[in-house]
Amino acid sequence: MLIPKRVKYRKQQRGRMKGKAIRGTEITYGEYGLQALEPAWITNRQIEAARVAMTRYIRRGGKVWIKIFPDKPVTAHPAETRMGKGKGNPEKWVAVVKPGRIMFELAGVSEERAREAMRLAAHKLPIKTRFVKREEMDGDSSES
Amino acid sequence: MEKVRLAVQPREKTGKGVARKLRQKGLVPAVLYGKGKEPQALVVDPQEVRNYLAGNTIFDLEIEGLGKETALIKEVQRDAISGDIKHIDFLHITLDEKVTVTVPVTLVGDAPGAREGGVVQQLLWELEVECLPLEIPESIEVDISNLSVGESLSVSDVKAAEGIEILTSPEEVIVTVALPAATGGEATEGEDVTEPEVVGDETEE
Repeated sequence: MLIPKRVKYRKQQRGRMKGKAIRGTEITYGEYGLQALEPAWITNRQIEAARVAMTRYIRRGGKVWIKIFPDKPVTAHPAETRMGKGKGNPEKWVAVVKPGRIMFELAGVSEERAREAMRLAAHKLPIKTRFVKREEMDGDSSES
Repeated sequence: MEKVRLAVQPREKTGKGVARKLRQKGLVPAVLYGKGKEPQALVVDPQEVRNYLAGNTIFDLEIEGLGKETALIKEVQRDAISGDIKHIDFLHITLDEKVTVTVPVTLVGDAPGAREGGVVQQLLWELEVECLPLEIPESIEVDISNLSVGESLSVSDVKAAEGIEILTSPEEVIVTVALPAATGGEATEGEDVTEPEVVGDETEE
């Protein structure tokens, strides 16, 4: 599962997810992409589940790129513990995803297979997504 | 390369407020700049340019009250979700001076390596070329009909037409036929490790 190798600080503040993605909104490596339409924290477990769903479907052939990285630690208090006593311990790692972000890319498979693979991957994610193609992004026709 | 006439209006006011008002009216703010030219703020009707955004179309801009200019599209800013055009940068050019542009790469032919079980992977989708504006190719074709498994084509293997110089590094690989990786469909159990190392954490030592 994706996790940073080393970090400067163990815990982070939560921050806000205002606005749309500024970077990572274009397909750079593959032919097809899965674009986020809502803001969310995507955990490394969700990313892994989506990757496994995709690679299982396309089996041999095709290549998958993961374009988000969970570099934000999220802390939590243990169960049945009273609130307070300081910030909890890091429990999971998340990627901050804003609308417009291309989260996964795919190449080397037919469009039909890519759509199905992305559909399966999207079911593992907590947000609405959209299948996008490289040529549609370059030109003016955007998928609805 | 085709030439397109485009009527545009000059824009006196600049800033995000003006730009937002223009977008509300269905127009798009734009700018024209280039060597030896003062930047000129413009207003463009997006319906008139939408079909010419993908290639390196040469525009004959007819700026109301300011005459004609020849330009290429340098950059198009879009909304990440809706894909609506938010701003266009036009680069002023002269037809007798070479320009640097990016041209898409298209693969032609069937790679025998793909029939042998390999996967055709295109790693480079655009090439940077320098040429006269009227000689800009729509795309650069790369013939992959001799590619077997494990072979690849790099920029140095591409033969550009006369007058076109490829600026992309010749070592960069355009396309390769790779053996499909191991399924990779398994969850990476057991790697579910722990915590990353904390940089400069003295308490650990």
